[in-house]
Amino acid sequence: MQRRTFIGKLSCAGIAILFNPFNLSYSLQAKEAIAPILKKKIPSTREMIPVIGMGTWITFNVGKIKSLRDQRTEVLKAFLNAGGTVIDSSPMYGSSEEVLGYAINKLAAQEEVFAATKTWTSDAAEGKEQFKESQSLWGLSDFELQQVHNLVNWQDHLPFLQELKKEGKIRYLGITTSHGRRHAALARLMEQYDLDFVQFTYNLANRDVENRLLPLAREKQIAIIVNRPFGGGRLIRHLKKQPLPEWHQELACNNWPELALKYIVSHPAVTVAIPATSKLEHMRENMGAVRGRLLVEEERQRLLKYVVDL
Amino acid sequence: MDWQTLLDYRLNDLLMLSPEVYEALHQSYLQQYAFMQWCFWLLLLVQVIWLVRYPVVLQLSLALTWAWLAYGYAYQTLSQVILAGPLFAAFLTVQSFIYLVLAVASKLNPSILRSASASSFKFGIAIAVAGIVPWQAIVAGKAALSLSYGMGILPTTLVTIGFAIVHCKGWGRWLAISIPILSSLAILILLFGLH
Repeated sequence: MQRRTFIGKLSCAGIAILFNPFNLSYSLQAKEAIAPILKKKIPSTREMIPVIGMGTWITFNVGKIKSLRDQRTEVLKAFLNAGGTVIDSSPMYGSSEEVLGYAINKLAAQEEVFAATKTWTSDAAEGKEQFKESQSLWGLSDFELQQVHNLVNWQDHLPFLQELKKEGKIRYLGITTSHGRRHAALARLMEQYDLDFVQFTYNLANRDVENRLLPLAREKQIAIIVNRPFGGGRLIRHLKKQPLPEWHQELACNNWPELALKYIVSHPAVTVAIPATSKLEHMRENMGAVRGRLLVEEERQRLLKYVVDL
Repeated sequence: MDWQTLLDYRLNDLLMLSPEVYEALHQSYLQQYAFMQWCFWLLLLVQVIWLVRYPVVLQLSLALTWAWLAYGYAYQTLSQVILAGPLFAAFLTVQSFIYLVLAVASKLNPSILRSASASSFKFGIAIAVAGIVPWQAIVAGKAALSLSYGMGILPTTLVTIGFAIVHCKGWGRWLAISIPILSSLAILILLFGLH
């Protein structure tokens, strides 16, 4: 999929420049298509995915308001144009899945997305229904990743997800938690079950997972999705009021969102971070972190020390 | 829906929507049902001037008002972005039925009604009339939140309390105002969480 998308974008950009060489938006697309995107491997298959994805918690829950749906479509378009593919949602997020389906359909981007959603119910039968509903809401027949949301009734849902994987309706299965909760239970599941992905919270202000979950995921060859990379927005709002470190360009970063995201995705165990936003300019800032280079451990520690000292 | 996991989240995590979406939703609701707002202003006028003398008909009109809030506001509008919207709508439907029951009970047994003193009559009517003021819009300074009687929970609760002071007594009064007060608390918690 990646190669197909890349070649497609490259061809479009080339044709666009040929016929309209002074159009800036086409030039930007061309630049985006040519510049390398940072990717990491999903350990279970070695498939490469971009290190920055897109969360939809709160941001895509806009109901049936057309103006907001269209604006979120623009946000998704900016994400895809910048090279993003991984999109994460959940039945818990109100109308987010439906709005995503609207945006994906409007952009005809079904083939471009790495679709990840969740099962969020304590009832096993309802879990199966929820999967069908997600297919209908997203407008997709298959998902790349299906996760048990917040460990809810994983005992019933994991076997169902394994079944889906065998049938080819999903390619990966996983389990999520957030807000730094239920880490002990998640660690036990990571040790006992054959998981492709786990998802939890990790950011410059919340590094609990560094002690146990990150090393364990690495050891067990499980891909990691990091949610709440900006601490639900609170961390980034605080950082944006602070001066950037003078040496930020040495890290190939232009702003705080890039620094905060690069800190996360440069951890060797982390596969992808999924910041959520409803604003185009924030999406562009976030996607800055999908380019350039990853930080080495010394740079990560230097950045962390700078943030802690603020 | 998994209620157990809800305990893992904070209030503003659970709301799952932003102030921007809340305002846009209400703006769209008010635009779509602008004629309903006019209807409810007219209804309030009729209720205060004329129907207040006919408690049974007044209670039937309040049943209709709460039925609209259940369907048009909670089910059609809030449910778009709030998972508990249908539950909230069911809760408001119960209030509508309560008014139907009160209307029938009042007809069968007029002694359950109250003959308000002149002062409490004026007080009750004053509270009811205050329901026409879009308090939420004034407090928030947002025209998009101009919900008045019949269109929003808080102003309709004011009107309901006002008429309950005029006509209801004992258990009837509690039945008339309990759900509106609880619903208003839910809306206030929502607004507190959003802002």
